[in-house]
Amino acid sequence: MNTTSKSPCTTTDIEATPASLGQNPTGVAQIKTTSARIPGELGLWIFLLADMSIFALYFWVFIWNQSLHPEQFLQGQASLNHSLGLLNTVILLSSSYFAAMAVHGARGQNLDSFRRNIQLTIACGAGFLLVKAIEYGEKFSAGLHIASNEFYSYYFAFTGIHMVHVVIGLSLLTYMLLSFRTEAQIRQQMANIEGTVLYWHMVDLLWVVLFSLIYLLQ
Amino acid sequence: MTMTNLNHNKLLWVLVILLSLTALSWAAPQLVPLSSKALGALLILLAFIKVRIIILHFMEAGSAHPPLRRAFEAWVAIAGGGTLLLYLYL
Amino acid sequence: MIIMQDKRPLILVAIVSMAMTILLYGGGMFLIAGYLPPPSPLLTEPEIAAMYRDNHSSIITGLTMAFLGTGFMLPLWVMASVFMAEVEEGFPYFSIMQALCALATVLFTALPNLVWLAAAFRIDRPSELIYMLHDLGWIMWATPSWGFAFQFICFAICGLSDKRETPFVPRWLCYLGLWVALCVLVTPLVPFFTDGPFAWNGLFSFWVAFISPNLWSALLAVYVIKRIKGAQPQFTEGVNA
Repeated sequence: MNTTSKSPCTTTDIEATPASLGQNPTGVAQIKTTSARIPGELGLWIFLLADMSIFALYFWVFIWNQSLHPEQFLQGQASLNHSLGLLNTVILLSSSYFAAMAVHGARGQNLDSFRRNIQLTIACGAGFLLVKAIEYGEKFSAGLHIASNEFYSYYFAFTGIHMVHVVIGLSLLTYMLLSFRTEAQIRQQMANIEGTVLYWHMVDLLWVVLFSLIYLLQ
Repeated sequence: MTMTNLNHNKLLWVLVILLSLTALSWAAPQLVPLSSKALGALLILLAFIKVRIIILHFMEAGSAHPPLRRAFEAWVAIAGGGTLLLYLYL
Repeated sequence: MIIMQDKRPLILVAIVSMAMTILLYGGGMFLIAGYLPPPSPLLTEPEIAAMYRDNHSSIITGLTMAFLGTGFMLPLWVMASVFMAEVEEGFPYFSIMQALCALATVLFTALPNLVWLAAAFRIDRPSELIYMLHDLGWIMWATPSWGFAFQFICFAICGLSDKRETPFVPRWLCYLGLWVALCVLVTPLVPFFTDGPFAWNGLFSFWVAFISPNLWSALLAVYVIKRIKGAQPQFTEGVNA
C-alpha cells in the first residue's frame, strides 16, 4: 500500500521509473520522483490551478489598466525600488530551489537534508517579507498608499495578496519543520511535504510574473 | 549516491537557468535594442518561460500524470498568451 | 458513528431550507429589488435617491423577501457542523467554529437589508441620508468576509482530517473550499475604492467573491445528490468495528 500519499491516484509504473532518479539507499519502492504519478495529491493541484487562474485575472487587469493610464503607470513604476524587487525575485527563486531540495531529501529519507533545506526555504521567505516591509515602508513614508492612484492600488493590492500567500506558505513550512522530526514521520507525511512545497513553488512563480509586469514592463 | 547528486545537479541547473533569465530580463533594456513594445513582449515571454520551467521541473508536472501536465501547460499558454496579447494590442 | 438512516429527514429539511434561501434571497435581491449585481459606488446622490424613490415598493418587497431568506441558510450549515463533529471525535473545535461563523455570515448578509429598508422607508427623507444609508448597507454587505472564509477553512480542515474510507466530503472539494476562502478574503479592500475591480461591484470583490462560493456549493450539491442516489447502503452506517 502506498503510505506516502493520500491521493486516490496511486503510484503507477514504479518499474518504469527511469533509473537515473528517485532511487534511495533504503530501496523504499513507493518513493519515486519521476513515474507518472501526482506529487502531493490531486485536490491540491486543483487548488493551485484555481488560485493561479485568479492571478491570471490579476495580470490581465494590470495590463488593461496600464493601457488606460500609461503615464501614471510609468511614473509609478519609476518610483518603485527596482533593486529590492529584483532581490525578492532572487530570494524566492532560491527558496524554491531549497524547497525542491527538501523534498528530494525527504524522498531519500535524509532527515538532515530535509530539515536543513526547509530551514533555508523559511529563511528566504522571511527575507522576502522583510524586503517587502522595507519597500512598503518607503512608500508609506512618501505618503503613497493603496488609494493614491490606479497604479498604486494595483501595486499594493496584488503584491499584498501575494504577500498573504507567502505568509500562509511560511506558516505551513514552519509547521512542517516543527512537526516532522523523524524519518518515520517524513515517510508518513510525504504527500503533505510535497503538497506544501508545491504551494511554495506556486507562490514563487506568481511573484516571477508580478515582478516582470509591475517592476519591469513599460 | 550518484543518483542523488544527479537530481541535486538538475535542480541546481534549473535555479541557474531561472536566475540567468531573471538577469536577462533585468538587463534587457540596456542590452537589447528593441522598441518599447517589443521589449515588453520579450519581458512577458521571459517571465512565462521561467514560470513554465518552475512548473515542469521544480513542481515536477513535467513527469507527472499527463492530464495534469496538460492542464498546467494550458494555464501557461492562456495566462501568458492572454497577457502578451493584451499588452501588444491595447 | 452517526446512524444516518433516521437522520435523513433532517438532512432533507436542511437541503430544502438552503433551496428556500436561494429562492427568497436570489429572487428578492436579483429579480425584485434589483440590488444584485450591485450598483456602482460612483453613482451620485441624486441618482441613488431617485433609485429608492422610483422603485420604492419593489425595493421594499425584494429586500424583505431576501431578508427572510437569509435565516434559511442556517440548517444546512449546522448540518455541515454535525458531519464535521463526527470527524473531530469528541473535540468539535472546528465544527463549533464553523457554526458560529455561519451565524456571522447570516447576520452580515441580513443586516444590510435592514439598513437599505430604512433608506427606502420614507420617500421624503433627505437625499443625503438615503445616500449614506445606501453606502452603509453596501459596505456592510460587501466588506466582511472573514466569517464566510473561515467557514470554508474549518470545513476543509475537517474534511482533510477525515481518514475514513469514504470521507464525508471528497478531498478535492476541501482544497477547492480553501480556494474559495482566498477568493472572498479580498473584500476588506472594498472601503478603499469607489471604482475598479476591488470596489463593491468590482471583478474581484463582487464577481469572483460571489461566483466562487456558489460554484463550490453547486459542486457540493452534485456530489451529495450522487452520494445519496448511488450509494444508499453507505448511509446506513451504524456502530461498527
